[in-house]
Amino acid sequence: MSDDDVETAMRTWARHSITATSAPTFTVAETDHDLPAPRRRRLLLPALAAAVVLLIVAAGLALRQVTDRNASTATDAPHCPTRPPTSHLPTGTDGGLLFARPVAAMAACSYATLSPGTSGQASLIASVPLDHPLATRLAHQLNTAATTGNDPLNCLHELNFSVLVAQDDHGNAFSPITLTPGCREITATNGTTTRYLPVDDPAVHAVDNLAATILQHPPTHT
Amino acid sequence: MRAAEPGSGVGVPVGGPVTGRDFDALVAPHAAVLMAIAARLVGFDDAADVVQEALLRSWRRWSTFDPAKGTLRAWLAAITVDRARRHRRRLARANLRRTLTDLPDVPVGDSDHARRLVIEAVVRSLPRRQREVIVVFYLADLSVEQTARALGLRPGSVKAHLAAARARLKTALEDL
Repeated sequence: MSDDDVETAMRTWARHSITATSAPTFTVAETDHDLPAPRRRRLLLPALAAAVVLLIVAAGLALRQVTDRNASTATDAPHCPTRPPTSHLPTGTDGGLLFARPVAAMAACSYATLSPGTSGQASLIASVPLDHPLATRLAHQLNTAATTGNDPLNCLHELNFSVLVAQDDHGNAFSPITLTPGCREITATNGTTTRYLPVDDPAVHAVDNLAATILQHPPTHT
Repeated sequence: MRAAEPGSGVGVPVGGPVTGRDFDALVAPHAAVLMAIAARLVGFDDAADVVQEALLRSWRRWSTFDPAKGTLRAWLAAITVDRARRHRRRLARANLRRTLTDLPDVPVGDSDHARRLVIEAVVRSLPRRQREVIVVFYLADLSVEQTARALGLRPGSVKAHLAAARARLKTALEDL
């Protein structure tokens, strides 16, 4: 028996296996929230923990801004929308830049969802205005990140995600950038351009956890 | 040459917000493939549960499906394999390790049927990783690269597993 015969036999077996298999009937409901209690707790606790951390950081930043009125801070940072923009769903990439112009102001918005994968059902749990140096650094990291991803397909990203809203010197808004942490990398996308940031890169890990970034590398005011 | 994947998303909001009806329509063409894969990994008795779990999970995480990284079928197959692994671990923890369902007797004179049963038996006897590779590669009709991505392996490992599995299949088929 040749290798080709084995290959043919396997293809025949595969075709027959599929046609002989009765597909299960499966229907999802829009309001499919019937998570078992332990699982629900498992999802809720990280979301609450993240919310608490981010709120503490936001309070710290606000205090910093009040005590340093001369600083170029995030007082004019864009506001986080109550619901995330739908453009956070990656639809491919055009290889371009996420920030094609210099960034003047930016805010990080953290969203949580327990609902099916429709972005409209996520809720804002925290918003963190970023000062100019951090916003610029973040924009640079994102613009120079890889254009192809390496996460395995079965890596399901966290339900919680962050959205960066930013504007340039003239107050023109950039397309919102959604950051979704995965297994090996964070996907950053505005819907047309997608960049992949490795989670084990210390600099980029900062993007995954903005709160930690701000705590570890406080913005410098000159 | 691989056939175009049915329901791959042309005109359908793949990766975008979907309604429950959209989702059902998108996954329906792949349900039989997923069942066939799950049956080879956890047995026919538990396959439906694993597929239900996989589809429910993919629905909840639909927003993380990135068509740039692979086809819908590959994504669903990857999640099904992941759910099958978890299912086996759950059974092992509960000390409920099951053996795969016995195969029916081979009808005399039906050589095609006999060949399929031999393949089925060999596939079920393969080591776990080899079995995952062979069922995803053949049943989901993926390329080596797609299979590697779906299972989180290097393409070289997939090729090695495929070669080892084919060698066992060849021996078994020659003995038929």
